[in-house]
Amino acid sequence: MAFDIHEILEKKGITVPEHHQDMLKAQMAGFEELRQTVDQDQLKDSDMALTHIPGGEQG
Amino acid sequence: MSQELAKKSIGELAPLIQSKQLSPVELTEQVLANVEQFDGEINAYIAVQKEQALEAAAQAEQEIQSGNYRGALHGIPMALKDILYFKDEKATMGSSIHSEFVADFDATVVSKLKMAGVTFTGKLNMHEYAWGATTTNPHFGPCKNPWDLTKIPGGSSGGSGAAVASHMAIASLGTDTGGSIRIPASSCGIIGLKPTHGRISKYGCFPLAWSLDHIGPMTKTVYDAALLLELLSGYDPKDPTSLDRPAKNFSGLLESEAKELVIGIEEQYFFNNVDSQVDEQVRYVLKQLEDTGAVIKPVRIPSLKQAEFAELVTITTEASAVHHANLLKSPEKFGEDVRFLLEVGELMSGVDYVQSQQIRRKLDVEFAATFESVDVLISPTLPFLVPPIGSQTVDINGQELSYLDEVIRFTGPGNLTGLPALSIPIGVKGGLPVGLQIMGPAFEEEKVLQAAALIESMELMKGHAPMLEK
Repeated sequence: MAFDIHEILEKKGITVPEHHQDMLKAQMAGFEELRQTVDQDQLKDSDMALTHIPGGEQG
Repeated sequence: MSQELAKKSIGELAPLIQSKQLSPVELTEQVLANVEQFDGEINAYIAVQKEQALEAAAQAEQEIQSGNYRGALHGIPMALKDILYFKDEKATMGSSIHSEFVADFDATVVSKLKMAGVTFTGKLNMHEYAWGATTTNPHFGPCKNPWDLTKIPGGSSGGSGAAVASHMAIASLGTDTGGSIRIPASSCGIIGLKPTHGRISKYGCFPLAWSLDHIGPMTKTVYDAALLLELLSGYDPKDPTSLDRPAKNFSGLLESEAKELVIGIEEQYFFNNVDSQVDEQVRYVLKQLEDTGAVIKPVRIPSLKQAEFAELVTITTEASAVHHANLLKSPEKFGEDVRFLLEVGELMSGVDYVQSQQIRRKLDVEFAATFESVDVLISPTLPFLVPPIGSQTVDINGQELSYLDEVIRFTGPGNLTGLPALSIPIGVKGGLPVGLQIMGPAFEEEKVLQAAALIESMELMKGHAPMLEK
């Protein structure tokens, strides 16, 4: 599904200056390229480095 | 007027203060004289606290004269990045939104420095909310690089880098979320140490991205960095990311021999697309270390290729969560670049974030396996020499590339993994310092410091000084 960056941000209540719109498109296009570096097959077997510690103690 | 005392390190000054040969007041006056002389141009300070500093120096002097010497930091003038809270004092975070914010408690690191008898000369400039790496601050003015006033000092702790390099502070603290201690340290020709995540409490430090943020020393020498690390280390129940590991006597663990050192080199990632002058200088140091007995070992860390994705997603998402309410309420109060990055963070998905944390886990495992066969990893800190103020791009061997994309390429993995990493100056190219990064195993900062001490002993910065010193 094609998405409109401006629309997504506006729906969140964020006012986006007009001159940011092309910059955001370019940034997210670059981000899509970075996403291609992610090895999805490898991640299927990976844990995540984020855990919730009951009680909040890590010490 | 030459302020010779202000050029010295903590390691040189402490014995003089302890033996009462040097007055903390005289030392503080020299540091403040440098601020007066240089800061109009450099703009490293957001606020200078002259009267307060002189009063604190007089008190330190009185205590020392009475036989109550507290230790190596007693009577040492420092200035900290304006993101660390001092009770009943303003902390602006380099922002307009928090320009009148007054903290009602001391950050844990501030409290420790106060207990050690440090004299604070003021609050240092930074990239707004630490969300960027140029220190071209729209609210307090751009901070300039003391080596070349047309260039950026790096960031986000650019004021700390510039102040220490121009002797407007004997030492400083910075914060580092993608490289914000090591980038300005490299750019300004000083030492910058990001310790292991959890080693130094972040209580009382305004967050940029909780899971990536670190506090660490920015100093003139490796010894000074070790001294500050041992003082500031320790478990703090007020910081949920603090870990209970015993502090070590880091300043007493600096001696080692090159022949005991095994250095890992990850060519594919950490030497990919590096400015030829930077690359040449780092390889020169590696050759020197090898010639004196160190073993250089090629290593592979395959998941590094995913590190830029994980860093970008994690930092933008967490930063946008921190600032979400203000982005909705008063977006015009953010600087243009920070507002843009906060918008980017709002576009990341939950899946992106979780996958980034999976990549971090892969990196943790691969780095840990690597450090079973090497003591440290060495790389350039930055793949380029710092660009002019206002430039959004950097030149790497004739290619014009995005500054923001390139600047955290080599430092970001240290934040993703939380591993200790230090930048040390190793020479000057094109009038600008070159930094070398040393990474080490978790909670073994002594290995990083030992390798740094060996490099420091090569005296590669001898005869080089920022232009203001000439």
